[in-house]
Amino acid sequence: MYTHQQQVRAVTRQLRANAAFRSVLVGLSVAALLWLIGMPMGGVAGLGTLSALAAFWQVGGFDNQNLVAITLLHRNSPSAEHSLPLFFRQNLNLAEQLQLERLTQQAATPIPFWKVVFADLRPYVLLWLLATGGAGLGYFWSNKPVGQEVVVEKSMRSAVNSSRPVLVLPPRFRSASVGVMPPPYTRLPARTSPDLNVSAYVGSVITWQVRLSQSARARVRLVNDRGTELAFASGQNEGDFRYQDRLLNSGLYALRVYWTPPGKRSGRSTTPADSLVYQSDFYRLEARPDLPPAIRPTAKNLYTTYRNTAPATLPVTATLSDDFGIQQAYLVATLARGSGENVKFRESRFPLLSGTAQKGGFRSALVAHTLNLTQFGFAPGDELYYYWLAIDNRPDPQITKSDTYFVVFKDTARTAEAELATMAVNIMPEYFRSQRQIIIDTDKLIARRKKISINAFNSESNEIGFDQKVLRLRYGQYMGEEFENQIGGHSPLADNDAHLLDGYAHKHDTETEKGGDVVKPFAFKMAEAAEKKGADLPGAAHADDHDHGPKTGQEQDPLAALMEQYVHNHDNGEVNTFYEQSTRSLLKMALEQMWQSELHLRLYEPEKARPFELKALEYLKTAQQKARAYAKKSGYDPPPLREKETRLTGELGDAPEQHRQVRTYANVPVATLVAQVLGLLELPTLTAAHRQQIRQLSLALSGPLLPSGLPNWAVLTGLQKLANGQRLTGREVGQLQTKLAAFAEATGVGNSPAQVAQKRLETAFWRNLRP
Amino acid sequence: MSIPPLNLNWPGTWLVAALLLALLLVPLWLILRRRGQGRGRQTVRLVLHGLLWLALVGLWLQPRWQQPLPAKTLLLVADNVPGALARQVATRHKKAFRLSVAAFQRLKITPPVDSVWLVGQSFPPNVLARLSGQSVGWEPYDAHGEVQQIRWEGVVRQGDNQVVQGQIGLETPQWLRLRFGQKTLDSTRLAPGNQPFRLIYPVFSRGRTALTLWLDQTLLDTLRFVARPIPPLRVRFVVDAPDFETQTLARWLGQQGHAVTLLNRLSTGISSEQVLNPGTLAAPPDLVITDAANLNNKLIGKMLADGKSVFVLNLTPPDLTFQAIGRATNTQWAVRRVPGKDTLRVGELAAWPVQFLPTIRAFLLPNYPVAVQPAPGGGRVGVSLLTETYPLRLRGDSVAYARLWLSVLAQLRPSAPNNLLVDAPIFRAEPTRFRLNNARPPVARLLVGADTATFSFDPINPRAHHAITRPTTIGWTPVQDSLAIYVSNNQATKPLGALAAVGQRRQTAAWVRLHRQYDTGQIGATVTPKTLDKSLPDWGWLLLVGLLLTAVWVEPKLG
Repeated sequence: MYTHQQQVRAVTRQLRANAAFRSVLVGLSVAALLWLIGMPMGGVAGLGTLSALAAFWQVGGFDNQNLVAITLLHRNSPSAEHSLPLFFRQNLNLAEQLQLERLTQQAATPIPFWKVVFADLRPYVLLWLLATGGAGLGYFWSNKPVGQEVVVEKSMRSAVNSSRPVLVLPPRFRSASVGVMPPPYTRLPARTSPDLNVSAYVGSVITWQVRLSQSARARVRLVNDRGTELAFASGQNEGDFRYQDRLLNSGLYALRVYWTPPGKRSGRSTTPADSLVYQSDFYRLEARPDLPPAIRPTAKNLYTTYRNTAPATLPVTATLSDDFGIQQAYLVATLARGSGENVKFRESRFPLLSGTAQKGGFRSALVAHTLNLTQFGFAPGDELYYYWLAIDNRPDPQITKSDTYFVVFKDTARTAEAELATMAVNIMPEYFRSQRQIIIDTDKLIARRKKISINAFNSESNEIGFDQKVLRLRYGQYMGEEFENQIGGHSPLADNDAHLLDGYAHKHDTETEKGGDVVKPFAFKMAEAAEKKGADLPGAAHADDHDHGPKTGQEQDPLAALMEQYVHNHDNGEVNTFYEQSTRSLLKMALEQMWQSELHLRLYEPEKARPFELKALEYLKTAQQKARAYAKKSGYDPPPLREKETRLTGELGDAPEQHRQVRTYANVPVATLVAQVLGLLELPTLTAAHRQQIRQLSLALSGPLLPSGLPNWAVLTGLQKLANGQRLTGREVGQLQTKLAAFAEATGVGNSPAQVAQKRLETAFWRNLRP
Repeated sequence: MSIPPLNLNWPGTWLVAALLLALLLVPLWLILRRRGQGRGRQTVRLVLHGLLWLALVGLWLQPRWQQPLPAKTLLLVADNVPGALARQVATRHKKAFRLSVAAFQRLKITPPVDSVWLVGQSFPPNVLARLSGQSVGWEPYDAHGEVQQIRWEGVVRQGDNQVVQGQIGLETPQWLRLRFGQKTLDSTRLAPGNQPFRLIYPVFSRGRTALTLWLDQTLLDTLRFVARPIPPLRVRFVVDAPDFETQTLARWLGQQGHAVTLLNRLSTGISSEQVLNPGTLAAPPDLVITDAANLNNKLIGKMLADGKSVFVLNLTPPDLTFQAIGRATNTQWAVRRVPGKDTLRVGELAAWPVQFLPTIRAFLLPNYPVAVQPAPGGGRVGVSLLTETYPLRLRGDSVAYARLWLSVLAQLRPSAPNNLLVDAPIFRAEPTRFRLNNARPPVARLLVGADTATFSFDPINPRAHHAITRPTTIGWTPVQDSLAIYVSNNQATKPLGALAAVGQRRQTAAWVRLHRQYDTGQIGATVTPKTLDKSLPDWGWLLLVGLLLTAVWVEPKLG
């Protein structure tokens, strides 16, 4: 039996449910309105819950619902007999107890639960509907892009069904990602990133994934900094677009989404009717090259000599490295044998990595190899060249060769011959003392006179005299005096029987001299000897009949005339000399002084010799100074060309009279473009012509800037943004100004603007200006 | 004490009076009617209510009272002037009465004093306007790091020098830098004290340009101007034989967009003509480049008479006396021969062993042995002592080559037509003088924004005009069709930029100067009462009312 007590409890629960329903509806309505005014979702949920709780409290959800339930039951169930409060009352009186018993015995009339649970919900539902509807409308309005809302009549077929206009919205950009699949040989992992700046190895496969809100009538393009576009293909899911390509060069790119409004024909290519509904920033695409293998041989000397005694093996090592892997490595050795035109080469190639090739090579390793020279048949005179060769694992392999090393086997047999050949010209310089040295030695000897014995003194003086003689002979050679005996009148050949010292001694005090028989000079003695000979052979005619001097010598000097007849004068020092007259006489005087000095030295009188020595030195030095001559460079000296008279007087012939060459430089200099663009940075809005200028500069700069590396790419990115009508931040403008100023005209000095005045006044001013 | 007159015709006045009367009577009645409280408490309550009522009446009636002025001089101290300086100035002017700008603005009437001294320079125009009847003195305040004066060209041609000069007050030695973006264009190290400065750079941009002025790492302000493009030159070479120097120069000039004619006489009756960029060649050339042998050419004399420029290059040792050059071009050259040398080294180039001496006429190009002199006809004559410049180009150093020839060309450009000159900074509502020189064709009016200014003749120079206008809007204002000026704000905006400070100083100085000119001090002397109106500010009344209300509320709870 369904008792009244149970019914009261059930209705109480249902009333609570009803309150909950109402509060939930209120909460939802508030949340919808809050969302409409653009509050974040967290706030919407929080405030919605708060208002639902407030509504629950307001409708009495937290209160005791027993009384309400009882009132409701009393109104709807006559069987309750308005006595239901008796169940909850203490201390009943007799009548009440009787009534309670009566009620407990009666069954309650059940009330359908929906009557209670859904009672009075209508206004709340209405409120919720209004709020949700408002939020929905607001959402669609707020999302319409400016100028892109298109309300079109439905097509003919749908117009039959409904005549209401339908809102067709362009697609919205949701997300984009880029996947980089490096070439397989690099063994690098593939990666996907939402950052669209790509830096990858050349040959990587790049995949762009773009997600739009819808794909109908939308086309996605990849555009580079020159405006060239590449089309994306539609993906599997709605709104997905995909483009895949191989990375070859660096550059900048952006993503564009075009949309064809309904009513226009949508094709694969972009038409002017298409709207650009999305344009991304410019992103960098950097292609990093795979570097060729690097080889660092351990040996430092490129050229080594091998000797017979050295071991017959040559160990060589090198470090090979590559950024991804070396597939093959070789040591290539070449033996060269023979000489001249008969040289033969034999090349041998030694693979270094037979084991590792299958495993895909290695990145870096120290490789060693031992060259067996006996195996090569390395013989004296041979040369061995070897180098390292590494090939990396790129499909189109890169090959690196090291420097070539030389090993030369010295041929000792040939070397000896060569050394012998040079010995012949190995002449030691002749030793002799200078005049100055002789003076110094004489001084020393004089100083030591009291310390040494007389014999030693004499011997040393004699030696110095000998040195003086050697020097005199040396200088005599320059004078054409080939023989020692030609100087100073000493002639052992002509005068063998004479006293040996005659030539040396000054016989001023001898009888002969006093008697007027002067000491005969050498030439006179020669003449005498010849005369004597001629007297011995009176009939003999002189065989030499050619001319040896002036025939008129007889009139000048009888002695000279005599000599002219008999003396063959080729070897006469007086005639044959290298020097002009004055130098020769100076030298001659020096020689005479030396002669005197030698005489005194030989007589152990160094003090007497010294003035002559000094005089000799003085004459020598004077001769030296005089002998220095300025030699003028000789050559052909053309007569001066008289330019004024001869110029432009040549034969003209058929030469055309007028040459006219017209050339126009179409390229605007970069500095001018930079100047123009720098002036645009301050403008609030840019016209199409301005953007064209910016694009032109971007194009002109992309050539020199792209290879210069990433830091300068900011300039291009900034220019591209400007060209696409985007605003730059203050920092970006400053950066662009700084970088572009470097390309501006580099004037050292500017002009000071001059003001024009009255011409007459100005002329008078400059004419009469006095400094 | 005086009470400002009440508007008795307004019913509100009577209503407020009635309410106040009720507010007096009702509490009194209530307090007196109440029994069972001590006499003392009753008195306290009566007093408190009375005071509260008086405060409300005071708030309504705003009574004022006169304070006698002890001094004959009023010191009006600007906001940014430190107190110590204000006190120092006050002691200097004995018995001076000090007042801040804010306090002065609160005064309903201007105090009648003999003279007013303005300390500092930042005074709003309405304050200055109220001092119109006074004799005014001025003590400017030079704050540390504050630009006191500044001037640059508001409109300049590309390639011309932009000169920024002024004065700044410093306490420590600091660097003043002129920057474009992050690039420093010119800088100078300034010693402590009030230092004049002058920063120069050749303008390389076209159109609206913004530079920044930095004192060490502090941005002082942004300087804006417009750079006008320069028209390409028409250059004619008058040389006998073709040589590499002139060929290279002609090609480079052509690449820069100038129209070039290079005529070489190859033989009698045979010549070769090379024309580059033949755009506007019909007109006579602007610049003739020649060598010393051709200076007697008729064309040269005609060009100089027309006010065009002549440049002489490829000198040979016989030309180095400069007598022939001076005779042919009607110029005077002062040179000195460097003894014992065949050539002089100039960077990577060689020059003849002759030096130009600085004279009043000659402008010597820094870093290069090139001198330029104005010729009597209005043109310019330039002479280069460099033996040859093409090796730079052959070596690939095109930047150095361009720097050399751009510097030379800048000095040889003939005066451009329609030179519009205006001094920057330009302030709103301040008179701005535009100068127009060499106008072709003559212009009568100048459009500045929405205004039209009329040009008037310069009394001395018939080829110069000037017009004065007062720009009304702040920011870029178009001038004619392609030019613009930047109008700065000189009103107090926090933080005060360097230009606004300069503007205010200029405004105050002009105002004081005007006062001095007409010496209006006598008018103030006739005013007899030397008192100052004082009143309690509104917030004072409100505070009083609030305190008394609190007391009235707290008082019953105490017992």
